[in-house]
Amino acid sequence: MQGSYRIQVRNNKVSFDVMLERNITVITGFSATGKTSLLNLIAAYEEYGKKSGVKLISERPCCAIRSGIGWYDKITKFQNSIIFIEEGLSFVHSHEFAKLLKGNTNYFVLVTREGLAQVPYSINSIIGIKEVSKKENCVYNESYKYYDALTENSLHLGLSNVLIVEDSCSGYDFFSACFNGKCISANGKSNIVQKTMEHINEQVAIMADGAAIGADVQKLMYYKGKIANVNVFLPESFEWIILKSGILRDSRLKSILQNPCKYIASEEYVSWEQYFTDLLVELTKETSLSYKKSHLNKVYLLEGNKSKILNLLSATDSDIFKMHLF
Amino acid sequence: MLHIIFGDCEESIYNTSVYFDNVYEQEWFNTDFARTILREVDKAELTEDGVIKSYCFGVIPPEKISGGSKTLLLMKNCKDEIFNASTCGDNCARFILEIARKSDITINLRHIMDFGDAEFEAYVENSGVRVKNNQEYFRQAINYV
Repeated sequence: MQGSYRIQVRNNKVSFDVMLERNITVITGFSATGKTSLLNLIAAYEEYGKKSGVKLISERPCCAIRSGIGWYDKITKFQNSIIFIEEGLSFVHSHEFAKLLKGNTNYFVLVTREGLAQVPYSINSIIGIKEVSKKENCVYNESYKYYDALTENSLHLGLSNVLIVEDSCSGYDFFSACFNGKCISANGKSNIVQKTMEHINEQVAIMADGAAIGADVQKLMYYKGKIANVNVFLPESFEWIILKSGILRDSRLKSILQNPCKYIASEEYVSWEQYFTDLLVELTKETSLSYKKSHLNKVYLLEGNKSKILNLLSATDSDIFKMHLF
Repeated sequence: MLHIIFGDCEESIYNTSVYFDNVYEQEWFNTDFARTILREVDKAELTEDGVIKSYCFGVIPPEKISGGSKTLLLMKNCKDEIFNASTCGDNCARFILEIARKSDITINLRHIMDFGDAEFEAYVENSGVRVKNNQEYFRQAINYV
């Protein structure tokens, strides 16, 4: 299944308007924002349809899993549907569940505050629910991106003298060649905070793949907000940066990057990160820009290409960024 | 004193909502604590005759209060049990500290709850370390969640 989906569900007291753009969405936030009420409405409609008194508008069938018993069988019965999973069900942390997500045609919406270490979900697919109005005794709620301020072009290296990069492959090769200070690989997203804490008295910037950092983003944001003033940049992935930079000229690319969810099928890609890697590999195959994730093709470090990538990164903070690279 | 077990904990009650529905007592609601958390967390009023009036749903039974308020009431009234406090949003954190100021409770945290910016005290059972502020708390939590 691919594409974005709007789900509008309501009864005579409460209404929810939820936008989904990816195969895995996590609902988090304060208590009493309506997460369970949303699941109740979905479950009622699933069981009784219109005779539940619930009104549901959704392009795809919606269902709710509210018990850990029989979850596997229930999920495998559905195809091209949107499956909501209630808070408090421990199977979402299991290896079996993570395995089931691979090749699955359904979209999943999970209610949890815990990081799902085995599930590669995006910072952009963590949502909250907020009340937007109350009319005629009905409370209207909408979903919003929980970490909306941290997307795309927002790298503020400022006076950073340490840059921590999630991966140890091409992305690291690029930034270690460009950054004037210390560039350190965290060797994986789960190590980023630990690695950052080793430099607590320095000015640190962090670059990681937003497309799959969902499980670790809460602790990263806690660190940023409470412990040390680090700069965090979470684009989809390093490959997404290259695709977006303008180095490649491909007629399809603009529309893909404008609306990736139209092109990325959940049964092919659990995470968008892998899609962007495959796309970059495919588009550069047998060209001088031939891309491999394992190590950086030096052509990306040629002045013209490097500038395009850095210009993209520095879109909101160019002067400061340029002072500290090269 | 607040005792915290971070990460997986076999002894903890994971699905606090189900547990609450099956063990709560009506008398739990006849307290200022219950009145306060229902007002502050759920935006619900508790009338003098024990009826819960929700901002959204009107009169509701205790089973329909939020997962966070259920867990807080369990922590307050079943102090020998360990509850999954990750069913509580950060808007419940100050009430957890309030319970822990008056008595010993042990909670299970599977995410890094934000206890606010003021100093607070907690004992991390995983490591046997007592923490007094956000920095110390985070340094412990990060090893387990």
